Amino acid sequence: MTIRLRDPSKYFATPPVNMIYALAEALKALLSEGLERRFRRHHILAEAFRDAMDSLGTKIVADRKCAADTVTAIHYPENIEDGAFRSQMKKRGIVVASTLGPLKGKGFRVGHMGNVSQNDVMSTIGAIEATLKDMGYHFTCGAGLAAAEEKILSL
Amino acid sequence: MVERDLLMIPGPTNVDPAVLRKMSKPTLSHTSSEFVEIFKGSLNNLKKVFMTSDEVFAIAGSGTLAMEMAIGNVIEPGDKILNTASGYFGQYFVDISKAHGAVPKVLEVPWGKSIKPDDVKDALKEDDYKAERPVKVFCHSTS
Repeated sequence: MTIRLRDPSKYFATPPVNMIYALAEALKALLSEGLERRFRRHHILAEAFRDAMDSLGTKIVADRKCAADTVTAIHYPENIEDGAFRSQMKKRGIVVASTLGPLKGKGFRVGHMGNVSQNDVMSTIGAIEATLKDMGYHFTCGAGLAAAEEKILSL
Repeated sequence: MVERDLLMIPGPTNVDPAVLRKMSKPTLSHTSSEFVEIFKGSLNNLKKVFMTSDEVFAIAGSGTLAMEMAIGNVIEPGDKILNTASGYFGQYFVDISKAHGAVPKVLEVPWGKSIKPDDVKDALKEDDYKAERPVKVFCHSTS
């Protein structure tokens, strides 16, 4: 069978037209930034976020040497309850995800891919700090933000 | 404040407002030359993003649908398949493979650890896989 998706000028199915507009626009933005620049941005922001979590004394699921630059999963410190943590984060205007499968309820995930900016990452770290502090976890206030800022400036 | 919530999850991600605005443009006929140009241009740009001159497909569905489509297109019932699993979605591939009648062998590492290319090489030697069947490469699990 021929691959009918190869040539959109011949009828093969009814594609979601408006979503293809979105795809076209997103690709334009990505290619005008440049792949290498985008990879570097994701790497810097991921490193900054990981440094921040390390500085708070929380444990990241993935080994640092194979950690993805698109997402970070973090184990909750003791006595931090998943639902309460994420709903407090939401009240502070930041939506983070739960961990899945056997880690369900034991940690949370933060995506730092796509068009996420330095400000978005710093806001997220700030909200994580405020939420953990409010829930009784002990650490030096601002430690995560300081580590992230240092990484962002050093790279 | 609801509209200002910052979505920091591993997909769906924040969408650039310029992209959202494009979606609100009037819908063209899918066979019109104007739309065909947009679609063709996008397929070409996708090739640049995935750094390939081979086929790319724009799938109107979830990543899970694309995973199933990939397996469904290469697996015949009874085929041996080597699945790698280092997280939730690697295991998902195992389940999808089984649903398509494959006999999966799972190269598994604890979540958060990596699977080395040599581990895959060794695992492939251990069993008799059909050479023409591709190997699934799953860069990382988002869970």
